[in-house]
Amino acid sequence: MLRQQIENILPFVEKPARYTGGELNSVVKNADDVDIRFAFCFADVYEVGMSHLGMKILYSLMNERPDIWCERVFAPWIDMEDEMRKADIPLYALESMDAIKDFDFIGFTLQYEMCYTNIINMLDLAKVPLLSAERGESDPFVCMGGPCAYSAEALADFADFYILGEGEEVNLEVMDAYKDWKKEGGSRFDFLKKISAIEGVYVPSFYDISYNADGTVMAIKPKYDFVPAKVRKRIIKNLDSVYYPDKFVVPFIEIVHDRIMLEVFRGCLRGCRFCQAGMIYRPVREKTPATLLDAAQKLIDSTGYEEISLSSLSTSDYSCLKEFTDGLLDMTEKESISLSLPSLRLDSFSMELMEKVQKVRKSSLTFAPEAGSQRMRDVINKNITEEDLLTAAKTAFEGGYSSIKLYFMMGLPFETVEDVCEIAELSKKVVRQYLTTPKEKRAPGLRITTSVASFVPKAFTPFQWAKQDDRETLREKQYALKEAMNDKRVKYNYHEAPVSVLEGVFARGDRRLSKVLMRAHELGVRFDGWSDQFSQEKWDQAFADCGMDIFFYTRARSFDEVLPWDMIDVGVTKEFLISEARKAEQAITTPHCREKCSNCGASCFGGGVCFEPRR
Amino acid sequence: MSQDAKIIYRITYTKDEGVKYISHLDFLRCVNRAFKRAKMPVKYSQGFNPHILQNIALPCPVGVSSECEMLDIEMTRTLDCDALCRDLGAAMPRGIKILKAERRTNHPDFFDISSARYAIDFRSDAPIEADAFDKEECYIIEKKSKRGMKEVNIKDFVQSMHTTQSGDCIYHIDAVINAGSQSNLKPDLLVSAMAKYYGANFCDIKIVRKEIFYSEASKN
Ligand code: SF4
Ligand code: SF4
Repeated sequence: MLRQQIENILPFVEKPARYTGGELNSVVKNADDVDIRFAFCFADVYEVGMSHLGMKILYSLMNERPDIWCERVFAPWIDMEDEMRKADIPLYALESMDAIKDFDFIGFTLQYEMCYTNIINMLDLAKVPLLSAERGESDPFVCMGGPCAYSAEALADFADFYILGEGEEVNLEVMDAYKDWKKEGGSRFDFLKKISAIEGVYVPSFYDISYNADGTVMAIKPKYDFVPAKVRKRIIKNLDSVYYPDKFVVPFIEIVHDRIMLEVFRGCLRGCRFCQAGMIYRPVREKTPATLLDAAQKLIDSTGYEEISLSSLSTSDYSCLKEFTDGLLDMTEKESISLSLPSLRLDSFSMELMEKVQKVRKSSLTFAPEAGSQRMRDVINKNITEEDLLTAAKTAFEGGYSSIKLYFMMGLPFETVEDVCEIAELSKKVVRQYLTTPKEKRAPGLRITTSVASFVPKAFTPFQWAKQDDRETLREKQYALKEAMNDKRVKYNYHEAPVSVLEGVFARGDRRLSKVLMRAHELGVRFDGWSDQFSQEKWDQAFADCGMDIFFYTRARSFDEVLPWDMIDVGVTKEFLISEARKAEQAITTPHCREKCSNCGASCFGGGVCFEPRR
Repeated sequence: MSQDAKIIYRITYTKDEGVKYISHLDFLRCVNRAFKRAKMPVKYSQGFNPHILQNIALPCPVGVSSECEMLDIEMTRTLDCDALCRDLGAAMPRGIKILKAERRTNHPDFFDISSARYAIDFRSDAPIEADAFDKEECYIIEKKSKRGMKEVNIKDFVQSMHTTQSGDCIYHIDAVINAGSQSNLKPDLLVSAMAKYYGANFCDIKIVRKEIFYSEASKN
């Protein structure tokens, strides 16, 4: 029994309740009554992983099935890992406290690149062979899904298979195939062969990658004739009827997003050119207000949460926003719980809505113009003008807000130092807007916070070919901006982020990076997303030890280069991405899906906004 | 307003192994949500940040399970005690069982709690003379107080204790020790003091709170 061993180490770790499960609505089954045991892993600490909506959905979905028991696994924090290793306790699942090496599946959701070393560390803690090629008949299958899975070639040596796209249908299809395979009897290869026929399943070991002398990919070839040349992601065509949990696990300890989350729609209309989410989740598919309100009521009843929030990419674009928020506000008032809104667009309705929601306390407002100059905003297709921003700021100040947060990026393609310095100008214009608001109307205590992140080019975006600024270039831009930001009323935050370069490396990496990940793991690298744990030196050593060059991965690519993720089809075509990249160079914008369809390719799924009647 | 005019219920419940690592604050939030799920007419405080009016007897130390937890909760109207017990029980996470609910009348105040009985099981890495520590009059330990670490005689906090051997190097302690706002000893401190006394390492430690006692003064 692991339980007793675990209890013996818990007095020595911080927040022991991270490791004991037992939360309301967590699902405990009898292991003997199920056919499949699935360890759903999130490669970060409990508080981060438990905040993730996708995990909640798939956890409940799989547990609805009497033949499957899906349990949760998170990365133990450093202190717990040390104790586990000392006591020789393997990684276990929270519900049963059984070692996950005895499960049928170990599934990881890939939410950000900087969790990759945690994945390897978790497999190591689980005592599962790290490399797919080394796993034997008694080992679990290791699968990976989530937004990074479309271009997670760096993990190719570790994953038995990937599940691409929205998991509600395909996960269960894979589970059914597993039961069939068990009945038939066969090798691991047979199972992988069987599921490679399921749309959305990508088995990396079934593809041969050859390289040119300069290190770029020469060709991607399926090894067997039963393997599809391209694997298309899965989507849920009719989102309104898709499964949504009526219960969330309610943690004992506080987590990052400790509230009910409602998914209003999937996808985003906007097509900002730096944004991976905006491309990979296409097309937009909405739920109806009735469905959403029903889900809200059920979750309020089953969780007792005191707060509810909306979780979609650009929530203001919801076509039934007014009807829905009216209904939701009635509900939250009746149940005396609060509603928290995500960052909304700068239009008047959104401002009104915020007014209604935040009746008492005026917290700060967040706007994300993303770039300082109009030219750059056109380059990235962020359809916000200076006037939009200043009008919104004016409304906000007149409405009693005195605190505004502005989010920008630097290091964008085609960006000059002058463009970057415009961030300072725009921030100062917002200050001026405050000063011109009549004293009797505005609240005292102006606080403008300007945060600037470094841009990371991602696969399946129009900027997937772009050069990523190196640290020196970023430092110069950052310095120039600091000079230009000579106004004490603006608080300027820059995220010094050597980590963003690495993020870029893995976001556009090929499978030769598996070696580097392995080496980094051996050097003790983990929790890269936590700045106090991140070690540039260890990473530099890992790359050097493997004879690999970081700059190879941050360089610009040409449009005709074979990209390491070319075997994946997200619906959006390469032709569309190239045309967007060309328009970016000329600072020409593209209208959003409801204004005009740009034939991006995502209509191939046969649903969503692509088939809405246009005005 | 007198105690009786307010509608307060005293709820007795257990906390099992699975929830013993929940901190007091987290436990409060968990109870709040349970009342909300059970749609109970709990009374809220006035003011900017309304919170429910509840009072938990002697917060259980992290790592200790309990068969005798209590909390007082104020409601806006009277309820049937059996229904309260059943509905709240159904809304609780599985590690918490509601034993009973009663309208608080002349029940003693939690402030008058003076001691608690604990059942402690552990395994020692070497055989020990089970009752040697029991018989000691004085054993000095370092104990955290409001003004830093202090040397105290742990036995001043122990009203009675009885250690027996229950297996091969497995022992059981039945102890009544000071608990409450006047004088308090955490049971895990007793265990670690014993381990030190015997020069042994204890593991597989299980501590269960069995009973709570009030000071004589409160029993009038
Ligand atoms: S609005 Fe732009 S940045 Fe936001 S999700 Fe949509 S495409 Fe991405
Ligand atoms: S096909 Fe047209 S409507 Fe559909 S996602 Fe692409 S651009 Fe938008």
